[in-house]
Amino acid sequence: MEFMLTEEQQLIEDTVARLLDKQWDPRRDQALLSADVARMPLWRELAELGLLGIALPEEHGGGGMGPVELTVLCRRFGRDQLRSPFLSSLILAGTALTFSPRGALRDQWLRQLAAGEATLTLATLEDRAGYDHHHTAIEGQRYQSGYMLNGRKRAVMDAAGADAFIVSCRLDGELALVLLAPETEGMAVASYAAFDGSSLATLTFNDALLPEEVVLARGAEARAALEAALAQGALAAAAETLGACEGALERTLDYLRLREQFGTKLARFQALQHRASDLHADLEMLRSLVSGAAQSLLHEPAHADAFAAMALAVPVGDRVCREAIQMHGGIGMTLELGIGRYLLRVNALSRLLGDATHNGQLYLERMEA
Amino acid sequence: MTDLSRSEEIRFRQEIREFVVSEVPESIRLKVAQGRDVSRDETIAWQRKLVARGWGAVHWPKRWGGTDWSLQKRFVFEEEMALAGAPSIPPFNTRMLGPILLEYGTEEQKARFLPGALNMDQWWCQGYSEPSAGSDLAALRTRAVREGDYYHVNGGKIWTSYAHYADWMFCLVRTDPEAKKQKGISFLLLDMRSEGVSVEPIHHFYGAHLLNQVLLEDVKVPVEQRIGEENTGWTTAKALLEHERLATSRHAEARRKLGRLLVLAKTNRDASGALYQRADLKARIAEVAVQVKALEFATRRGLEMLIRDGRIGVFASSLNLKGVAINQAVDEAIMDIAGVDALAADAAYDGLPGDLLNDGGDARYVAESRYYLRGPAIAAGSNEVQRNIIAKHVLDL
Ligand SMILES: Cc1cc2nc3c(=O)[nH]c(=O)nc-3n(C[C@H](O)[C@H](O)[C@H](O)COP(=O)(O)OP(=O)(O)OC[C@H]3O[C@@H](n4cnc5c(N)ncnc54)[C@H](O)[C@@H]3O)c2cc1C
Repeated sequence: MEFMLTEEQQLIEDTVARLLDKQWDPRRDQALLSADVARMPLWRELAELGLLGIALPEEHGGGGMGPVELTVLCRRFGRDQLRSPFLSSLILAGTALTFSPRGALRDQWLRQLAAGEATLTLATLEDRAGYDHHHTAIEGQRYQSGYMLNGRKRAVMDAAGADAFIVSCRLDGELALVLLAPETEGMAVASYAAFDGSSLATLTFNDALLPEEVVLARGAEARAALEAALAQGALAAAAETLGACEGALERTLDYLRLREQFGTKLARFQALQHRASDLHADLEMLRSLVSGAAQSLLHEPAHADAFAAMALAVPVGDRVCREAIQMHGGIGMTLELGIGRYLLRVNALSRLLGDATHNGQLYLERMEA
Repeated sequence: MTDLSRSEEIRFRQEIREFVVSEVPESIRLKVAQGRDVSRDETIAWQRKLVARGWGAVHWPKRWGGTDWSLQKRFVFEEEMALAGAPSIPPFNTRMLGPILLEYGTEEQKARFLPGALNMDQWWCQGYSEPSAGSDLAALRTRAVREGDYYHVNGGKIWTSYAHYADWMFCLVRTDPEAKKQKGISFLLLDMRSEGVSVEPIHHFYGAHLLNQVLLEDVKVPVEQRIGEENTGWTTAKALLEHERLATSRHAEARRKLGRLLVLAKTNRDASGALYQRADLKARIAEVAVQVKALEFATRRGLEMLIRDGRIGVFASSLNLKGVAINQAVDEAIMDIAGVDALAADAAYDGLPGDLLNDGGDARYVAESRYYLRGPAIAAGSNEVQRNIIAKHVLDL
């Protein structure tokens, strides 16, 4: 196993760090929702540097790399509080496409994704399904030469502005992934802002018609593509949470070294030292698990370890980011300082990709299988 | 420990509940249930209804519009109000300034300020903290220099809750820079409309506006607006009624929220049925419920101490520490059970079709309420400060 980054991976990290440093300011850009960021020059630059499509297949313009490089990027996005459709479009939808059977539809969208010309999103979650993205109760009815869909998808990330939606459903009694254009008749998109600045939507299908050609994958192939997408998504969310925690802790330590009360630096109070040390040790565990899981996914795209990483990231993320606020005192509560944004983001991720119980169960089921 | 008989207490509670239902508009009761902010006007209107009923400041003496109720009856009153979902009135007017005026104010000061504080003709805010004086409040530097009948105040306050609503501010200022920290501080009442006062908003990280920075630039404050002697402000400010210390446990609030948690768990469903049927969630809720019960009894124990000894002393620090933690635990459980429904930003809920959310359990606004509760862990004696007090004064370490 390789826990250390290779030179090339280090270069990726440095490149993205420099780019964000120049072009992203979470405070200045706080009114932007994640979906809007795909229209910023920053997004174009990420594409030109080959970072957007870093894990997409080379034959379609991608970088042909994998989960390790994705975690490098997501970790940095977490630390620098970048909101963007990277998770929804490149990771979730991108992986679902990559692992779908070859075909004109798939190949064309992969090319556009890698070039930064389009964003896609994956719509999986349904009512009364908790965090179960694997489950779908939407059953397509045969209609003329295609299907008719009824039902709803919830908390679909970055649907506003997405060029197409990959939707999970059941066709002819088996799981399927279909690719729908926003103007699909009978499909309505209701977008709203989440508390972390993510753009979310409810998709409603009301006798939505889909021709046979939009079916990306069916049966075992659809399951494999979905499994891979959700595992990569869980790993990416864990890596982003890790980055958020690193940013939050680092800034907190800097503050403790600077701030004086009772005639001494806060950093001198042992009560705070011990808490910071605990958080550090928690993060060492999460760091190990995230990079170990990335290695596991390199060999097996839907490896159970991704869910272990997210299952640990949820409580660690919540704890570290809450403590970061607390140890700052009053200023920790402010929008101006923005340390609280880390907590909002990690809490949103654990609602988008599932909480600790959910991911822990996924891990256990797949570990034993 | 009772002086209300059992049946009297039941009747009294019933009376309070009926009052809340008939006098608080349903829209406001819903806001309270959802943990949302009640506006300035709504707060004032509610306080005036309380005043009209004789309940505006039950712990004040009757002569100033209070009651002559026993400690126990006051406790029952406050508990039942919170359980019934009445809007909570910020503590600054009747719970902080009132008792200070009653204890240290002159008759003229009482006559001038108590009626308006009770009726909320003046909205008061508390100007204690400064940028470099937080936990170490005695390090405050805002300077008041006396010239004839006036103090000239220069400096500024920060984290001032509701300063943007306030007509007046009670504040601590340094009148003797030579004296040792606590010794050179005075307690002043300052008209927010005075020349030289400006208020800058500070937004919470989730967007809400509660906090402010108050800048004081050569503000003239008449000497008759000083409470107590010059340089005794520290003692004045510390004279928080023992009774008030009980309130920091927020036990009734925790119980009301536990009710919300149960409703959500029973109405929110996943594929296998109501979430309440899930063993892991049930265990989680049980753990929270047990803590809330302990908090309730701890608060009653505090009441008993108060009745018996006239003080709860440092037990208050344990109540505060656990009260904050347990309230946060309930909020976190609510947010976890609300799951995906908790994601929308507050502003988003109003514009959305009602069926955005899972059936039944209304999970709106749970996130804001949870993030708001990060505040009390920091304000008015942070968790760490409470721990220091316990270690030093209770455990003798
Ligand atoms: C929501 C909210 C509302 C408020 N409303 C008001 C108001 O209306 N009026 C007003 O005057 N003030 C108000 N405050 C200010 C509040 O009283 C201060 O924030 C508080 O006293 C802490 O001070 P600080 O923010 O400067 O943090 P600091 O004192 O700088 O503390 C930073 C961190 O260090 C910890 N720490 C400090 N000293 C020690 C120690 N000795 N040992 C271990 N840890 C330590 C603290 O607990 C905290 O975690 C409010 C604050 C909040 C968050």
